[in-house]
Amino acid sequence: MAVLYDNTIVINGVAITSLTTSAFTITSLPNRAGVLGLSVSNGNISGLNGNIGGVSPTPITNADSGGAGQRAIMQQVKNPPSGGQTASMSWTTSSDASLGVVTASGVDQTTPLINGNFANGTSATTSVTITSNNGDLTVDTVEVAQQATLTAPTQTQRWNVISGSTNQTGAGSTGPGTGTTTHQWTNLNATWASVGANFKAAAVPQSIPLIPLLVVIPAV
Amino acid sequence: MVTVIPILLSGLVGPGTFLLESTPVPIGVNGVRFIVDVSLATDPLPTITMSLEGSLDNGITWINAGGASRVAGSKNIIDRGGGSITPTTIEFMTNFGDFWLATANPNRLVRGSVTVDAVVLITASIILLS
Repeated sequence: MAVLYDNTIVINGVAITSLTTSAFTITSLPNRAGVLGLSVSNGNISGLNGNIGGVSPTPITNADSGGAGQRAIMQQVKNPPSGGQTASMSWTTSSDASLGVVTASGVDQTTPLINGNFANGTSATTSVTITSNNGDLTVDTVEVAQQATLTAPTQTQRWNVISGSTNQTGAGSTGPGTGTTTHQWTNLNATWASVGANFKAAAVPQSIPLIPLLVVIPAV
Repeated sequence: MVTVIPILLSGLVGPGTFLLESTPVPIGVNGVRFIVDVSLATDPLPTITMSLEGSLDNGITWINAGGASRVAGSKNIIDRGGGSITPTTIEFMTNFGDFWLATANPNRLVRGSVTVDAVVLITASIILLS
């Protein structure tokens, strides 16, 4: 079963400690999962507390860039409810921030997002590589501080927003599971942080072969 | 086109909740900025919560249309160089979701609130974007 992209929602803010998205619609298809992608200009935040449709997230191993400045973090939510929902994230210490959410169906319900990875640096290209399998859906969240929106994503852009006072830019994209998927964005040679992971496809149900039965009824 | 809708004129307010009554949203509006101007407020700031709801059916039902808050504390935040700066506003912006994407719906209304937990000198408004 391949992961099927569903929907995206994003909200960004200035000098805040929580964000709550507008209502958005989550598919009713089975094996749903969601990812919360938080980008902040102040990496000293802590006490993350979020949800999608009221379901609390869990961390994704290696999907936190860390750092005291630009920081990107992704957390996973297993089986969020379908229909009109909101998502939110709160933290300590005010920061410019953006919160992007991606939902999908056909996702493994034991470990929905795997193969977390992060990278950071100061250069004109942000880049994070995500290990995946065919049928998976890779996703990244990027944080960069400058006065221009991130451009030229190498995967499908899902959000790309800029917040005021520190010119914090947050963005996210999704890509196909191809074994190794690289998510890159172009910026103006600024300091950046990028995290990625992939929605693991749910296992295909094993069909049970039908064994024809031959019943011999003796003639009376 | 932008439409500015004031919620609170500049003045000492609070503690309490201050409402934006339901207001029509013109066709074509596809996003919002909710701004609380804290440039004249003393430091530290109280807890400030901003919330918006939208109706797609002239006020019969309401859905969340975005929100943000900040806990009480210093006005200063860390800037991109690791230094400290003093923002003059607290705000959020969104142009996603079932309400803001329904740009052709003539029956949209928006309402909202600002809540502060101590006396503070602020101005609050929303800006409808299209």
